[in-house]
Amino acid sequence: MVSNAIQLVNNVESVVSLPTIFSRIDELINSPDSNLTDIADVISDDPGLSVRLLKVANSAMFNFPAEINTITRAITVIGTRQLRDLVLATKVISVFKDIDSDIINMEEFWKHSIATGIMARILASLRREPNTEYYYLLGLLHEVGRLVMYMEIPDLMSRAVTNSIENNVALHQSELSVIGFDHSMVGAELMAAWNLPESMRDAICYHHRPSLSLNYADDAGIIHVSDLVVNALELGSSGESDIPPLDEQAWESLDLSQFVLPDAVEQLENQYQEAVDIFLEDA
Amino acid sequence: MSGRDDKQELLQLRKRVDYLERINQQYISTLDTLNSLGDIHGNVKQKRSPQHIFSSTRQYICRLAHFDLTAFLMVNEDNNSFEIDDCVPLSACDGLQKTIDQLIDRGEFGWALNQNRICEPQLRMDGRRILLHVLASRTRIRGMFVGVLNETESVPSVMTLGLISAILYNSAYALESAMLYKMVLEQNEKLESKVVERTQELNLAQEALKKSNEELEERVKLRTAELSSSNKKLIAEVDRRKKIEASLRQSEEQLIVARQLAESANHAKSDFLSKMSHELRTPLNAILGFSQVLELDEEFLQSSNAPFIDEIRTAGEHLLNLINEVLDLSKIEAGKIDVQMENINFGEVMRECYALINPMAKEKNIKLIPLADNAEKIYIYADRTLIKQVLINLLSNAVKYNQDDGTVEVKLEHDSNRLQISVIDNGVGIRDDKKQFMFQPFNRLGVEASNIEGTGMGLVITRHLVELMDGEIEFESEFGQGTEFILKFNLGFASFETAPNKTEQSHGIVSSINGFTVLYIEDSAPNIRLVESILSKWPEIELQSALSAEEGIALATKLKPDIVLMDINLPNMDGYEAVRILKSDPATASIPVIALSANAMKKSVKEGMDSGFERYLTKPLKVVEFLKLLGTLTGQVLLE
Repeated sequence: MVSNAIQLVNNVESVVSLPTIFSRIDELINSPDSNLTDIADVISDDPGLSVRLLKVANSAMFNFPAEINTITRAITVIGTRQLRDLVLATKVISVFKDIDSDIINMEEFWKHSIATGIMARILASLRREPNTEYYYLLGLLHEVGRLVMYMEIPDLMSRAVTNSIENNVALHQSELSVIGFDHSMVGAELMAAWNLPESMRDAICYHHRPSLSLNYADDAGIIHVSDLVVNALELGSSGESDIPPLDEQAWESLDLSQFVLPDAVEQLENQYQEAVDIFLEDA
Repeated sequence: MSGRDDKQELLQLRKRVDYLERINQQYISTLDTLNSLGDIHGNVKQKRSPQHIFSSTRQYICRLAHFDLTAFLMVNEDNNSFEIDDCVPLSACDGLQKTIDQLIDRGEFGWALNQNRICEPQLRMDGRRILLHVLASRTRIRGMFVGVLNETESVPSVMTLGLISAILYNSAYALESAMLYKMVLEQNEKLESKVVERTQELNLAQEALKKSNEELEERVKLRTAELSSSNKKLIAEVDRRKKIEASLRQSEEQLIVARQLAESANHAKSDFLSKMSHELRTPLNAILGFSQVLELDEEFLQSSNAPFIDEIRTAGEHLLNLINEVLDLSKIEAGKIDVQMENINFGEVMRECYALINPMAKEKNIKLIPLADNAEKIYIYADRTLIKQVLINLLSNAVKYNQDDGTVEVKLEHDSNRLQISVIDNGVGIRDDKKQFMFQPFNRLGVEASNIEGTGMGLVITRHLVELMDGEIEFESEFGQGTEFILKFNLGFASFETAPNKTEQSHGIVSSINGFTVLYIEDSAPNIRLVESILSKWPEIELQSALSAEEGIALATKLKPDIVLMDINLPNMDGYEAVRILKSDPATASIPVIALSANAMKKSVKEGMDSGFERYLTKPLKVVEFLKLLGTLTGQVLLE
């Protein structure tokens, strides 16, 4: 019997591990000697990744004015630091591809995650954050804890889902009351297990209650709002049957006018289908 | 094996240590750089300028990579275009502008604006790499950094690029705060100069106020003088008006006196005439009497004077006529004619008039065209005697002034309330120049010399009589063609026989009903005749009438009628009192009493209801309403 989130993550760590290419790129980026060409060499070793990165660089998400046809060029357009996060975003879906999907529709789950990522990326660029791909990655991973839960404790999750519908409470609240912990905690533990930065653990841990985060409330807030918008637009589904409640304090602290939302939603709709095609292809 | 391997391993380790030391140094210098970035902001007032920020930023960046050219483009707030603000070396400025134009054309410049990081566009400048970094705070874009790397420079490391980005980020915020600082300074200066300006304005305004106050005072003085002079004029005008009013009042009084005088003179004239006629008739009686006596005297008839007696008698008769008519006229003018208006069947009146005129018409062989049948169904509201006199006057004129074998015709027309009677002849007619004298006394319009008898008083009297009965008279005539006199009177009320067909269509008479007794207390015979004619349709109804209230009360007590009809204006005792008496006597208290009165004022109606009347009907009587009421009171239906 699983009693906490750490235990749950320990159980799956052998199954779902970070792709090796991510750590290689991470190392290169942090090395004072390495440059764009070195990174391009690593990526070119993975033809699948190369093709996908080129597609992303040419997609509406980047909206670059000219066609990009080399990896070096793609990295210039995407940016090196951004590239690391984008590589992870591209590879992480395939990490979970072997999950038995009886209880959850994997395609719908990833569609929800991709949409949340795009929305988070748009909001981040509205706030002129330097690395927008980071927010895309956060959006993509924010509910990944739930995947682990579906894999490891499917019966408890079914009960949580039923309870959520019968008592009309949000699924994450139902998880907490039925199982004792929720998917955001599991997600945070997975980030820790993967040695991803503390900021990512924090943002994922608090994406339902951003104002509780001490150091990364804005990052968590961006994911929170994006999750809400995507649930409202019903782009894909992560199992939540209703729109989760808004943390108003989090929205306030993002300091975005509500009038940016219609425009942001329009951008999301422009980018969504293409991104789904690229990221879910052969994943 | 081990010696070589160890050496090999040692070499590896030494390499690793070197690498780590290098990284360490790099980290330390990076930290130093980041630590000292505060310089860019400029600590003293003079250094808080874009120029200072540009030059210190350039110093930092050029330590990290070898740039051939560095430039800062700033947004021109007026037209939102980017302008090269600071370019090193200055000589490269023109070439740079061309490159930037190209970048803008290709869209790469715009794309870089939206990336909050260092960007390398595809375009190169003479084969050299270009780096772009937007200078933006969270809220707004201030400008763009453009750097052109030296061709010998290898591709900068990820770390270097990150550091450059961090420096430029810092510069962007420094620029933002410098701009804000400048704005604050400018605002302060503006405010100060505005205060000075406003103070001057205030002084000027005060000056102007003082001046206009003085002007105002002057104007008030002037206006006061004007006012007092116009006040004087006004008083004079009021005086003048008062005088005029007084003289007007005086002349009004004079006018009243004059009118009274005129009226009494008129009365005196009428009196005089009436007395005179009376006095004249007495000797005339003698003249006429004696001339008739002489006509019977055989002896006298044989004498040569015999023809004169006829002359005397004719002249005497004419004079008598004249005197009678003058008497009539004076009676009318003195208001002594008694007019009793009632509803009269016009056919009946005409029959009587025709009977009187017929002998005269036969004598002249003039044809009286019979009246249309509908005359029998028409009622006229007039005085029975006077209307006959009017009609006879007009008919006799029509016969008298007609040619032999002429015709006289009476035509009727009516609308819902007026009746028009035309008396038409085809006699000589009236000449246009005489028409204005038609209704003046003693005017015989060209027949003075003819053998037609007349006093010239007839039409004058006729007109007076017509007016006494609320009628109008006018005429149309064409000389040689004939004359048409037109009379207009009020049509008799919607009587039973006015539109018998209509009444019978909508309200058929119920033939056999339960009999009852009606007592009508009324002093006017025509009114009694009317009710009589209405009720005569039902033989079962018995109508009794009384001409005074006293007689009516006595009859009511004796007969115990089912219904009492009561006029209000009765001699001695009026209807109100009579009904009170009937209601207070237990023998008659239960008999319903209906008021019939010509007085339709609301006040009278209310007074009537208060006195104990069952209903208050006003004249002219609405027959259908009246009959329905009788039916209701006797618990049956009289009309279908």
